[in-house]
Amino acid sequence: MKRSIVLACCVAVVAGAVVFAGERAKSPGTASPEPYVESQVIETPSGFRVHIRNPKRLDEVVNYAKYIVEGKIVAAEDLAEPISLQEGTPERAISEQSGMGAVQTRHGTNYTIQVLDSIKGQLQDQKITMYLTDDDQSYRPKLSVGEQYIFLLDWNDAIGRYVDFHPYASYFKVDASNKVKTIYKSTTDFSELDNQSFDKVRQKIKDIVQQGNG
Amino acid sequence: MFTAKKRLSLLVFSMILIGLSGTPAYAHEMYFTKNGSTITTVPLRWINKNTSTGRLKVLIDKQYLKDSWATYFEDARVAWHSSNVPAEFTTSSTSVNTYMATASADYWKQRFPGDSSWSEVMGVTDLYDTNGTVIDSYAKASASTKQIKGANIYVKPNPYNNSVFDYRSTMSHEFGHVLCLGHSHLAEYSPANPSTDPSIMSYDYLALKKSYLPQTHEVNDVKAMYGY
Repeated sequence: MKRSIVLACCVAVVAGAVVFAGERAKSPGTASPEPYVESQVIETPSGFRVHIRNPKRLDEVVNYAKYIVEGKIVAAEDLAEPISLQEGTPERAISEQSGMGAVQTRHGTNYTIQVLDSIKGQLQDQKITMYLTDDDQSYRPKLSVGEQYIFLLDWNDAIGRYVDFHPYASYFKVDASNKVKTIYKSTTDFSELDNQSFDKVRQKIKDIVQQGNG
Repeated sequence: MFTAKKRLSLLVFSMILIGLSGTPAYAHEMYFTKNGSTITTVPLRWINKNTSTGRLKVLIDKQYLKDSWATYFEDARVAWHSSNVPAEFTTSSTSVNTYMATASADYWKQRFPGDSSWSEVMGVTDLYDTNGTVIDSYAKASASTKQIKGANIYVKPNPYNNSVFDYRSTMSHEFGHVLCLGHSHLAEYSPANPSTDPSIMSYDYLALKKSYLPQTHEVNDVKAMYGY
């Protein structure tokens, strides 16, 4: 009887250990969360804490975007750029008082995109520059020269360049056979576009844009 | 029939199994690399201490905090100051080692160009070592003096995520980084189970929105890291 109890306890300990080991926290990677989560928090390699809100429907991000283009990445240039802290601002005050000075450095990449098709905004046939910081790139799809995407973009007047606004839903990859690969697949609205023709996806986005224009 | 020796062997065997399964491991450093199963950490340490009490000393200048960040600052400060962590968090205008500021909108757009209502940076802590070098990467941490003499915490003006918990938990979490605590949710680095080992340095736990108070995990990490 006593031997049975001891053995049962050992089995329970082992079982508990296996279950515990299985309950690992998952760290966010560069893919959209599946299943859908309304929001998530990640921290970048430099220590920035980022709250990500995830769309349920395609029209949410299409309507939010100021610009939507199909484009090819034709160049990528890594940069270290100064951020001059303006006099009289809180950031300047604490940076100087702590002895850190009035200039900080931001590291990132300029991606030059040849616009092949302008779906929203007037960017047809232009070469535009989209900027991502090094930290941004740690949780976004890896972009390479030669790749084509449908980009959903905003304009940042502080840096004078285009930027994305969602790490996953701002990108629809277009492969060599002109099929779309969705980066963000967390809801049906997005996942059903996966492997669809570029023309079909473009039309769907255009329909939303036109509905938004009234 | 089990003899005492056999029972003891079984007990030791069980304890070894528990150890291997991943019970909470402490002392999560901010910067580390992993090669196979080997984790190499950079042991950054806050050097400021109260010479009378021996506790870690964080003297905060908060005059540049605005709006809800200023409103809920005291909640986050007291959360740490009154906890069992051997550290003192007080506000001061002299001998300051930690500055906090609600940044300007223009600065935020320059430092975080992709920031939007979809993807929002709430705050950032810049730690700097005794040479005045800001530590923001493994490489810089590795090349640093490892002795952290100060911190600047920048928080976002008018964030979209603006619940009371967001303000309290962001500041409380950043105070953990001031003491050089790293994240405790990373799958590759002894993650703390949010159910059995809550930790405000874990995003998995913070996502539950249960508490912004330093947990036993933080107490043990600080004690392990600083030899208390």
